[in-house]
Amino acid sequence: MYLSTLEAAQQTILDHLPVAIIIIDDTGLVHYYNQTADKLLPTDFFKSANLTLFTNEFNSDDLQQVIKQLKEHSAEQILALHLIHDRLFQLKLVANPEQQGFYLITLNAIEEKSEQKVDKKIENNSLLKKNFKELKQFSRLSAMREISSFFADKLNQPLTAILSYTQAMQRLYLSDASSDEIKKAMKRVVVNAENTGKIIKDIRAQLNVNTLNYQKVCMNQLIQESIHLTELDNLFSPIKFTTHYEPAFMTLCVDKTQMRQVIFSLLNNAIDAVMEGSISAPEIVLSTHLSSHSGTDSKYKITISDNGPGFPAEIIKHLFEPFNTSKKNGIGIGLSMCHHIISLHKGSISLKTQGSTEITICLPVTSSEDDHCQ
Amino acid sequence: MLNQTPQSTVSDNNTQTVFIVDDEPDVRAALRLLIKSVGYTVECFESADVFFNQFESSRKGCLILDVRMPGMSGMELQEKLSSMETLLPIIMISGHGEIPMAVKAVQNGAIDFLQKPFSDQQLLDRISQAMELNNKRHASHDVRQNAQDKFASLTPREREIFTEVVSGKLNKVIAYDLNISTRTVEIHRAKAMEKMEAKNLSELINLANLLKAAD
Repeated sequence: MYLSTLEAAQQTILDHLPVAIIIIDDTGLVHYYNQTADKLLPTDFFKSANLTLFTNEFNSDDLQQVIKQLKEHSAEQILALHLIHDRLFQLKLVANPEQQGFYLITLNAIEEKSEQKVDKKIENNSLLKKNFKELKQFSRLSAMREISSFFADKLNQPLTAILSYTQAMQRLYLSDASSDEIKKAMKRVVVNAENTGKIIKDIRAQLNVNTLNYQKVCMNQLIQESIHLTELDNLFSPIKFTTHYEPAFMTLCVDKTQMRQVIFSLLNNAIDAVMEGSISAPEIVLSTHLSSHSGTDSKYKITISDNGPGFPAEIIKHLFEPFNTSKKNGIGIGLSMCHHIISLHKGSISLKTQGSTEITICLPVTSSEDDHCQ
Repeated sequence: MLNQTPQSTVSDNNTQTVFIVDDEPDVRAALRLLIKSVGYTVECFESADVFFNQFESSRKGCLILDVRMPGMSGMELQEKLSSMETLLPIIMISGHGEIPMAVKAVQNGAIDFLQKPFSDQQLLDRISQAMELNNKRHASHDVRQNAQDKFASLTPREREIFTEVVSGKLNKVIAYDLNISTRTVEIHRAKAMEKMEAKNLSELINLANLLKAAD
């Protein structure tokens, strides 16, 4: 490993450089990355531990090509340009003077002539948006396919039995068969119909939440975790995403899993909204706010706003009802689920559409709530 | 394997049976009741393995086979049976109805691939089709078997003459080729015709073609 050859002092310096540095070998395997890289790039960037796995656009042949060019021509080669939070970054490959076979990758923001910059940005953005949208659509469709196959699997067996028993009974009845056989078949129809009902009930019970598992939770961390679940964290996300935490630290008693689900759903809705074709500069803002710092009725608010097209009026009326959706491939579960979970937390959820769409979760902050928590 | 099995005389083997293989007890029982209600004999098996171990290839009828089962799957059983050259037509049933699987099953010779739940008429129509096909397969199998048995009863010399005759040669030519008298050829030829139960040359040629197809 490269790390072992790196002296501690060197590493400290590298860690604190304002430039993101990644060290790879000639197969693309990541051997080291400094703290700046860690902060700048989303966490899953390094999960694959191989540069060529980060993106489909860049495979190992490409890497070999760049390395070859690096050896033959110059001291550095530009790997790729990427937009991160509205700024154009350059991934550069540099030969490592310290050790042969290892390469440094640096990531720095570049300034360009303003005209060029705008052009590139727009071109880059629409391409990114297309890829991003396809990816999301695909994952949603495959999830729905999985759900429907699960239902089909569970329900088709008792339905087959019910149908065949009943049709056999119709024939037996017409042919004056013994009533004994018909009676037996009727009994099995009843049992199978009851089983079918039970299966549906079980599935619903699995999807429904009625009790909360309160825990003392650092809200900022919980929000951050929810963000990680979305594509907003993705380096290649075309969405400008900003967060604003006020207060900087806040602990609340909530059901961690359910609350994470709520924030994840709302962020996902915002992403879907801004990925609509007409929005040229997609933007999402998440902010938190604590109202009336003293007293027992203070409220903690999480607001997610986006510059998407907003909701049509007829949708707003039934916004929090299940199976009501404005999405092409949606099933209309997300917001009704959020509403349900927030109500269980004795909070409220509201929507404002004025130019931008703003959805706010309002949670009570009461000292008595500490009683829930262990 | 099947070709060597002598035609059974047990009456049980001559009635057609609907064999059902499905791991779901209620589906089995419901299908048994339904199919019995129109007068067929039904036998049920809870797994492909049990069926495979108990099935005698001389049995007549058709097979209703579930695709997804623990242990040997329906597709695997279909493959095994087709490699054994059984004459049993197969109707596949599945709770999933994946198109690629259905295509594969039909390509491998299944009569149809029915998605659960299916209507009784659809199933019964397929069964009667399958039974007809099974009868045809058995009839042609019997004819071929009969021809083979008859051919086996020929002496080596008779077989030799039989082969020459059906290839279109005249008695004179055969006699010359085999260096025997025309009269001897005529005697062997008459004997072979008699044993093969062929009234004329064209019947003999038909039998020869049947034997060729069986090889």
